Amino acid sequence: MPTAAAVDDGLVLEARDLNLSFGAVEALKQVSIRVRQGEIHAIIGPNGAGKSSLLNCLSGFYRPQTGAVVFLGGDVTHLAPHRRAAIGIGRTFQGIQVYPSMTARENILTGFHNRMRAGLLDALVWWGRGRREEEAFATKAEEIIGFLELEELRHATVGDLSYGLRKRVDLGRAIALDPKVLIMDEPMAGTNPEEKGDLARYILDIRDARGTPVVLVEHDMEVVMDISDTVTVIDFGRVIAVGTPAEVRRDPVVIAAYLGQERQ
Amino acid sequence: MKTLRATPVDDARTAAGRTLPQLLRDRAREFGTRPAISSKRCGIWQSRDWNEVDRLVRLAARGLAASGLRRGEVLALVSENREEQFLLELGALCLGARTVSAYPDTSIDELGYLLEHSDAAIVVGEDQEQVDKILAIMPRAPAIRAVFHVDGRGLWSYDAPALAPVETMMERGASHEDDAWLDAEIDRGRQDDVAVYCYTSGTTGRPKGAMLSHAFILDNAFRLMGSLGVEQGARYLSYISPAWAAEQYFGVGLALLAPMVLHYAEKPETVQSDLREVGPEYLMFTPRQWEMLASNVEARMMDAGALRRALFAWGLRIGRRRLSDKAASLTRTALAPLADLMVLRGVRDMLGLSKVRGALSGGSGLSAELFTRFHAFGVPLGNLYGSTELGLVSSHRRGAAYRPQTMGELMPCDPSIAGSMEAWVDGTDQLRLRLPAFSGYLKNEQATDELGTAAEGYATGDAVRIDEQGELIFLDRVKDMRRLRGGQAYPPQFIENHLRAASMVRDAIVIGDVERDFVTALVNIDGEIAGRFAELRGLAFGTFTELSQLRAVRAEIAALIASVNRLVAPGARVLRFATLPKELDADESELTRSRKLRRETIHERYSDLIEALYRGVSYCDSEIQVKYQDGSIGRLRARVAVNFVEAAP
Repeated sequence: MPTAAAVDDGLVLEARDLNLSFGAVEALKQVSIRVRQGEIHAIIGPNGAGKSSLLNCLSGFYRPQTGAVVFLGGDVTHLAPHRRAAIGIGRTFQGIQVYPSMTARENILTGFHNRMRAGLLDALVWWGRGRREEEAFATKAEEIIGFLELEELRHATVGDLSYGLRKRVDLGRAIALDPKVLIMDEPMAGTNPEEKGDLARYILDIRDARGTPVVLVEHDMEVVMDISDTVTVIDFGRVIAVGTPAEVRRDPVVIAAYLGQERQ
Repeated sequence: MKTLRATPVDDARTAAGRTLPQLLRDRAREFGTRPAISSKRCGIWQSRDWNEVDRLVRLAARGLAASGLRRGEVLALVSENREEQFLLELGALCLGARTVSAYPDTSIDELGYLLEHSDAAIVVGEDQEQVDKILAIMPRAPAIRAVFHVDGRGLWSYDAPALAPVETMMERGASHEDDAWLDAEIDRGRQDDVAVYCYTSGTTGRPKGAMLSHAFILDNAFRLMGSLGVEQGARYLSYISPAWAAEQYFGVGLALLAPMVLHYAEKPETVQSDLREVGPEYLMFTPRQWEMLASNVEARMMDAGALRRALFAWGLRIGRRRLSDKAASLTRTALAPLADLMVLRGVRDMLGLSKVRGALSGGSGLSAELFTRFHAFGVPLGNLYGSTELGLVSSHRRGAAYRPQTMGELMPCDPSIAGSMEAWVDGTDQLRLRLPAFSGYLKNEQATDELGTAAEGYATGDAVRIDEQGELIFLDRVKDMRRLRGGQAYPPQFIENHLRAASMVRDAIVIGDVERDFVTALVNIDGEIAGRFAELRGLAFGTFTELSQLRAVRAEIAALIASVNRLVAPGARVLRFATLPKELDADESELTRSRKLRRETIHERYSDLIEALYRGVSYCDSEIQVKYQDGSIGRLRARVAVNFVEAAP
């Protein structure tokens, strides 16, 4: 479990030499990444390069054959996804994972589920712990509503909202977990330019206001280059480059991978 | 020459020589634990009583003093309506400092002018958007010593030594001087001290800074209180911007004088639903805001089923009929209550106006049609006439007959400040007034002198008729009554207001001067209403430009103009018009921030279209420079049709 010493150099989440294969297909080969406190870390690469496999290893849906996932100094390689969520590895998925028949506020409240301690009886008598807890979470939900500027949609049914707004509610639910690192799989997919700008702004705000590092897989290069602090490039299951957006953009290996040239 | 004199109102709640902060102090003593301000935060209405408001204002005053604000210096505020704005303004006034407010959507250039011209020493910006503008202006406005922000979102990593949160400033106040010191500062204030600078919206040239004294603000608050009969403890929703003098009278002066319970919405986007939750008893909107409310009702009804639409139409018809003195007894005794129960009450509730006792429309004239519609809904809407410089002059009194064509009767001044105001019309149709006025324009004596003096009657510049009942009928600005080549005069604003009253018209600009033989018009259609209209008829359109040029849309506008033409003299009728291919936009300087038309800019930008109207060709290929949201400049090319209006029968 987390130790204080490992947190000191700002390292929050680390993958060490991950190898993952499905039968004969080697999805990840010796992949390592290091995510530090307060950074936006983008993982990019052509289709089928292994980006989603890496995210799934980080959040626990896949278990690598060899290698380790280390979170705040503790080895979490063998923890199930819900256990990782409970210790602070938050995740949003491609597409939208909200409850369409609930309101925006209710959806965000569901994000607190794994922090609620009161039982059914507490909830029924609406007294003492159950009530205090609900009031505390309602206050937190309102903070998130304010943070994501959803005030006028607080009581709107999420199913009726536009894609970009539902995506924002989804993000709100992920923040409700109060993650120490947030993993996002293609947050911009399917959004229009305006929604994209808004979401990028909120991702930056999550980093700046809460200091939460964000790991994201994203195809929109403009967004990646604009908001990321660090970019890891993967191709054919291998890390081919790591650096700032400017460094990565100039890297001949990266250019070759993206332009599909013959590799040396 | 007939001189009109206002009927005085007997009300003990006078300013009695006090300044705004002195009045607040007394209100806190009198009303202590009764609610004073209610703000929606985190989705819940949370109220503060008079004691707490007094405590917070004192903390703000001491904090501002600790930050170096001195008597006579200026605190500038750039914020939406929110309680912090009110508390900080009064805090500054406690110190004998002056305040100036700017519209939140003011551009950097306009804000820079305001901050420099007013010599602002401390500036409060609501959020990152405002702080960014203020920080950019600071290098050229050396008088600014400190900047405070209310909402710190996005400002986490800013490295600006002058910038700090308002809370920090108030915390500093807790250890700076004490209440006795502050009481002495409050006591030093005189009613004739300048309290607020109010920049006039400036339809022509740079805005001028009108100086409003405590006495002037409180006198105007009394004029409102007397006309509307505002009760102690009434609910008011603060919505019109504090940069507008009217909100200083209503949301600051009257809030303290009546006193009222001030309500602040969560944010501008939630005003419509917050309005419903508050159920304010008194409110004031601009004509545009009333127009938008009316359009909302129409848009909702277009979505409703046929039965509900028919029921709404019936309810509105009965609602209109009951306004007439000649209403049949069946209407009065049976139909009107039924229509109210089944239709009109619901409409009032949807608009959040079910508790309203006094509603005013201020700014420029609201059309008679719209005025009557709100009365049919059962909303006691009154017109308000006045100016930043001379204050509020006339309005419909509560309970009196509401005649939509008039601006009501003269308002009662605070007897502790002045006697009854007097009004007359001079040889050029101009309204002249004798009443307590503002304290002059900041750094502009020439403009101050042009207004004249109370003794000879201030020159309003408005062409007004005083009718037999002693009510004011506004024709137009004296300089805006326009003549055609043949000498025929016509009232452009009157025509425009009537056009604008139609839901499909957002704005209209009437053209025609001594160079021209007849009147033409440019019409900015309402995209939402026209869009639904087109949808219902199965007409395809992709952009606003295409929508504006649809034959059916243009035919609707033509029919509307024909109906307005019937109201004016034959020589003053609109003979040709065009629908604009884009919406008029404040960012392109076509409108002021309070959504008034900037005529010169519009004439210049659409000059080719106007020429086409007078040449009588069938269309014009126009090209207009537009500014996109990201600041880039583009050119909009469109073929705009010239439309001929059928001669009225």
